[in-house]
Amino acid sequence: MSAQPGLKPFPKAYLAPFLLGYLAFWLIPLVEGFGLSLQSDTRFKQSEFVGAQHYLNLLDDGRFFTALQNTGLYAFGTIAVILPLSLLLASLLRGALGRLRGIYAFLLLLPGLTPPSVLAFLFLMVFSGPRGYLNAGLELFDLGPFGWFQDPVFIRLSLVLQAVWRWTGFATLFLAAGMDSIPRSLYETARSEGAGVWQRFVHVTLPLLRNVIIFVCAFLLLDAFVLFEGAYVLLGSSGGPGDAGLLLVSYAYFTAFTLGRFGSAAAMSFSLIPLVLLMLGVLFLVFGRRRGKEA
Amino acid sequence: MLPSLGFKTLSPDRRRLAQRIGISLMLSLPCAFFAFPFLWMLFSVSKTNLEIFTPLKFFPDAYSWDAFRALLGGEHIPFVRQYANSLFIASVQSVGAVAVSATAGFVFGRYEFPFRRTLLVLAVFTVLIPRQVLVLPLFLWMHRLHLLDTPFAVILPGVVTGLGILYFTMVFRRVPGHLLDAARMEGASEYRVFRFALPLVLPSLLTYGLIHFILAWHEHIIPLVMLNTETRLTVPLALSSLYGGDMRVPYAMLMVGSLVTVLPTALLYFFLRRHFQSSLADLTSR
Repeated sequence: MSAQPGLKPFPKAYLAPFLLGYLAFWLIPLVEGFGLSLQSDTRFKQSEFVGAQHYLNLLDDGRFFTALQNTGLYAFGTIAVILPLSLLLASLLRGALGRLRGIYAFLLLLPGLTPPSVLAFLFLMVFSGPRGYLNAGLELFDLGPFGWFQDPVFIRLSLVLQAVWRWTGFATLFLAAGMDSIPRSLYETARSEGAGVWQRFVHVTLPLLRNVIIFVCAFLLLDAFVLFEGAYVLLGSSGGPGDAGLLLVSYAYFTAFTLGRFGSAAAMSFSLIPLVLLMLGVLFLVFGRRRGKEA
Repeated sequence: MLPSLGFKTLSPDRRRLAQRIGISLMLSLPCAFFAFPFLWMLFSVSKTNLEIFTPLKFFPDAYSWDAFRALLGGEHIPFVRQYANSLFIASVQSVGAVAVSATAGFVFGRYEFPFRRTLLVLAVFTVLIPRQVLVLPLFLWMHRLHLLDTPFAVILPGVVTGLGILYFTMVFRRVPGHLLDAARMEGASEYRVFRFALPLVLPSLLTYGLIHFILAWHEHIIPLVMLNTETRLTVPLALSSLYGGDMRVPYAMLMVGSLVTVLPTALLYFFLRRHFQSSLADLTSR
């Protein structure tokens, strides 16, 4: 324990599982996947180097851009709905009767505890199947029944709603915990300066929740980019009418495992990476600005 | 504040109570909305296919356990086996992820050493580039390791998580140093110091385990690619193969199957909710 020259002792072996796993199940697949995206389309046989050909092909692939657009729309839609909704629910949750809070939290969280494929099935059955509640309700007004899952707009909407249903509970709990940690004195000061509910929310709650909000948004963004199950259960890997449910991951899956075009599929997957990084960059830039203004 | 029409005459305590009741009532609406489909599913467990597809019919005509028997008896899918597969995969993966992340997080959070920053940045990249992007090379990798169609093909890629490393780095950094120094004074090696630190971060270990279990339990694309023998599938895969709309399959059975997918995650949440809440409070207080 005496002062040693050079490096202090540290439990190096504790890093080994991480480094090993990192190498084996992340770095090597990443490099290999990138290599694959530069090879011609064959499954397990010898393939040729084709350079950026698959990436160039993507630029001409209308379905790829549809998938890209759907994924982007979906990412934006889920965040745009979940963030305000869960901020509202979190504020309400903190104001609710103490005994009910746990029950409410559990009810909101219930969809988040359920596998998304089950959510998709339930969504279909309850809200929008041919005999679902949505159609039954509309029939009371002599409307419908509508073939909801033949309608591209509704397919997109239903994917967003499923994500809202799934993640709002978790987002609410995170935000409520964040709100709990804001010192009461700040609100009292604001109130004594004559700030109303809305002003206190905008000038005290929001800035102090910045980190939690960034975390929630980043999580939702990453989840949106890899969304797959909902669309897969509802529409298979085909994309549905007008390709409205075609998402990047499902298109890559379809290309690889249905068409057997591994090289193209790898290129598709890898084109996700700069997009994810770009969107996260924008996210941090937007919220980083706010901090600048405050200071 | 609620509009204070008649409230002014009430004492502040009463007024606060009235406000809380009002807010609770308001909140019960979205909660009911979120949970309604689950209630519907519960009552559909003993419905016939015809009843399930009858609009606005909420309660079944008769209650029975037939759907449970059909599912557990393996009439259409070997459900019990698949459920066990799912439990095995999710438990081993979450325990593994906690072990890998906590050990590495301890080193990152408590020690200075060469390349520490570089390694942490590398960990951040695993968060930014989702595993699902790597599904194809992972598939080829598992093919070469002869692990395809085994649970390990699903478990192994999920054990390394950048999010876990970053989380535990932060968690261990907040452990008061003097507690660990006390262990060192007693002659504990740096490896043993970790064991002293573990009970101090128990809520975080359980919380991360819970979240990882939930995500592993929900995982779809990785098992879809890696597994294909029917008895080796996980529950979400097995159910979604039946969701296709084959009317010969009793939907009540699908309802039971879907309903029990909530069980492990809900029970875990129920037992760990205090730890979960305290970790959340800890996490968000910075």
